[in-house]
Amino acid sequence: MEFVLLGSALLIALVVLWPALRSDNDEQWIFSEEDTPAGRLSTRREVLVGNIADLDFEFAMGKLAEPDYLSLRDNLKRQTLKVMEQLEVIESRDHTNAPPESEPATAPATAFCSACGASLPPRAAFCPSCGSAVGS
Amino acid sequence: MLLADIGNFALIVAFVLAFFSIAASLLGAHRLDPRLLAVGERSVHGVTLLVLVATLATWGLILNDNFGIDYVAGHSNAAMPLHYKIGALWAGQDGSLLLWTLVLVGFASAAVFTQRKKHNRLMPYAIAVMMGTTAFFLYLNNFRANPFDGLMGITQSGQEAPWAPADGRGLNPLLQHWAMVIHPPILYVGYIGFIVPFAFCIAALWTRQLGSSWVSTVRRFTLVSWIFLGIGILLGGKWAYMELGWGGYWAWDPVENASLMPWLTGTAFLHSVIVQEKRGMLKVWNVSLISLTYLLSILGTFLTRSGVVSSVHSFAQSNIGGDFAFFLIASTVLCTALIVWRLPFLRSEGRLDSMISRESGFLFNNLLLLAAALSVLFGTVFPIFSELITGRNVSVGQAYFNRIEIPLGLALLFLTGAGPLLAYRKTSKSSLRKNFTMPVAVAIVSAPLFFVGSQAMFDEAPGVWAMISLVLCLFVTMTIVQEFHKGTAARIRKHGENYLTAMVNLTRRNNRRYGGYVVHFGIVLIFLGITGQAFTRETRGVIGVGEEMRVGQYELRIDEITQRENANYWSGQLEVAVSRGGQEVFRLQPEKRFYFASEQPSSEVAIARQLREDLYLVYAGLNEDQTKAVVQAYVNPLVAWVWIGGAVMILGTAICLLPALRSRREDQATSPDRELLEVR
Amino acid sequence: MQARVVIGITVIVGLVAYLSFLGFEEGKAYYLTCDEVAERQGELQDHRIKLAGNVVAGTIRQDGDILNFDLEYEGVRYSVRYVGMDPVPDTFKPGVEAVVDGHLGDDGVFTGQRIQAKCASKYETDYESEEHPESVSQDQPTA
Repeated sequence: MEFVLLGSALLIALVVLWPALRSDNDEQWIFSEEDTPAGRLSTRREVLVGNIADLDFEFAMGKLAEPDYLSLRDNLKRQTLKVMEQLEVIESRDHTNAPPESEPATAPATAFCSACGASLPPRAAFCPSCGSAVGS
Repeated sequence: MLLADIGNFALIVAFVLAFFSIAASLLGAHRLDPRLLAVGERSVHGVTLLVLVATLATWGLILNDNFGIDYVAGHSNAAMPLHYKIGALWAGQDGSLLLWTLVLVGFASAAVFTQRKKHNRLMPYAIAVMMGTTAFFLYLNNFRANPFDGLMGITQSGQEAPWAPADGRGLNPLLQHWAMVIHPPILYVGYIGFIVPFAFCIAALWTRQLGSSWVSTVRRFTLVSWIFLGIGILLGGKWAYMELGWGGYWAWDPVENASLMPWLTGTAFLHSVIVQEKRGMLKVWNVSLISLTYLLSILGTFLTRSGVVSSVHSFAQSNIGGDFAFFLIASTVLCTALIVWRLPFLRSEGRLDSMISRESGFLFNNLLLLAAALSVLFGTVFPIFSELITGRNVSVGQAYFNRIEIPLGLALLFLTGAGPLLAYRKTSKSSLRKNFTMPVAVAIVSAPLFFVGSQAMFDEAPGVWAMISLVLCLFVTMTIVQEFHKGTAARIRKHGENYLTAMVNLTRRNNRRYGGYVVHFGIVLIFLGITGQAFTRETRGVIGVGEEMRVGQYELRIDEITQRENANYWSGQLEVAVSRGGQEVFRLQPEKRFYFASEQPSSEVAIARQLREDLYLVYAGLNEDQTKAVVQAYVNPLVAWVWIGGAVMILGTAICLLPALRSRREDQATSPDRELLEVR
Repeated sequence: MQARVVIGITVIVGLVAYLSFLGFEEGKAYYLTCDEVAERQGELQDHRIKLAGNVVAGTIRQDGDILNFDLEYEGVRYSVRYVGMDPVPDTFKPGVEAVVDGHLGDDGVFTGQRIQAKCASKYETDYESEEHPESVSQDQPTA
């Protein structure tokens, strides 16, 4: 009986350790989108496009008055275009894949201007890009 | 005891392997080595396999009537039917803790398997959290509540020796009911499933990847846990209603509250993450809510098992209260420290532009649900602290809970209807008019109708809270109807389909939104059912054969008083003819049983279920001179809607869980801004 | 905007606190075992108490609508009259732990409106091997 149990334990150990024991395993570590500035911008673009689609849907349903719809959509579109601009800048700048940061060194500036969509530095009172007051 | 040896071996190896998986995963993260991470992932699956073996071993011992094992002797007997023997696994502390571990590692394996290749960054830390918790429970399974311990007897010379009685004690008859058999596993899936989003949250906090990827990754796990927890809670109520014979289904008992609290914060989390996905806001709320949900689950288990709060449900003073308290405090401290440390990374990407916006609706949703959860928590643990501080054990009473939770619940009900009608950023007056006019108008007009209707149906006018509840139920229903209709109409305009096809396609194409509306409708039905409690009638009568008593609009007449007996129990039975307005409408047979083996009486309540109300009869026994029956009769209006609402919630959640259809892109491609949609 | 959110939170918290207070005053009850009640007998006259103890065998008597029985804990015994509407729970029988919600009368008899008996536990205490000493006949444990 003891042999059976011990044998099973060894078998489990073997199966578990297999990836480390194989000599031909050259898998790369998969970094996530959030590890690169390009990745983060790309994610943000998708979110904004999704927001526009939601907005179109709700307007088609008749939930929004037309002036509201148009101004909100315009705002979102501007933000999206801004993000795409920034994406192009980054991608034209480094054609080689810069190694992803394994951790963002400082807290990324994650606030965005609600008028033009540019990234806001922390604790900014006015947008450096379009000058509108933050939070207006 | 071959099986017991296998079981013990499996448990101890699992315990070691859990630690190994943490080490391998974290080392892999440190060295960015995918092979080590793969080893860590495989270890998780190994732990799951071993715990499964231990569980099967326990079942084997039970099904083989192996009464030399303490646990088997305590919770099973030879004559027990198969399905109760299966349920005996979780009837007692040792077995139910093993079940807990099984569900936990099952979720861990599912998370590792579904997220492999996607999340090397978060996975090692998520594994560490899940396996760390597993290690704690395996510690309990191995050393503090081992289901494989042999039964010890005392020989005539006073020594302890292993002993196997001829038969076990069996399952308490009150627990021999289908709802009680499935209630713990369903509840466990609910409680424990939240560890997956929690683990990924901790991983995201640690690695500072605090965008929405950790949130959208675990969405399905969150939804599944949430619905299982909700259904588990409703099942507990249904069992209490059918078995315990006091006519109700919720008593704010500490054990009931223990399951409600994580459900409330889980609901808040489920909604709040939508805002994070769409606008990058409420990040601190989200990490706090999921952490709180997980901690409340552990607290719930602690309260239920430790006997620290007196409850009808509490188990015998168990020896593991201290272990749980320690684990709970350590987890709370670590979570809080981690969140505070990462606050700079949790700043909002957007701002709250208006108080009348979808975002503020979600914010209030969070606040109200959190207030509800914390007030229930406070009321539940108050006796512990009052005893510690003043030396007197003071319990807050049901009035405390009802006074707070009813208004909070109604405010939440209002938000359920109003929230989806608000626009993101800011809702203008014209939008408000467009969306609120119909539902509000219908609700206001209906008030007098409810007044008259309840007089007719329940002989009573609604009180303030009942009236508010009924009006809000109708309001929310109208908002949901309006949403479905407007969406369908828009689809017809665009695609020319017929009404039904359009609605089905609408739901499939936007399953998160419309599945959510179906769930909301389920909640409305539950509120409707709960409101019925305001009109309950109760009577006690002592009547003999041929005599009658009245309750509500019914006349009850006893036609027969009989008794019979079998190997398991003695039973006294009544044959009751129920009439309304002179016409016989039902015949009911309430019963009182006395189980011989456990010397346990049990009332088999007779319920005539209608959509309008339940007629609920309890046969309490014979009177002193044994000539007449003591009957307790209740009329419970609208209670069926609570259970129907639960079923609707399951349907809605299933719709939400459907895989998203690709056709979003096809809809998008016809929008005028193709430039925005070019995928790089 | 921040200010409005803060106001909103304060309003909610304030309302909840107010309601808690009302509900608490209305429903609070001391949970005391028989011996603890005996200790504080003087000060408990008008308070709502949840009296906990074990049902004493042989003292259960049904007088019409009223159920009489004795509860005992740590040697102290109280006579109890249960006058509430709800049926007595199935778990109520001699020897179980019961909790009666009500008041202690001047005559030393406890009158209860609500009654609970411990859910005959899922999680039992250790199997009472002492109950069947005659079954264990060997001195040596077998393997």
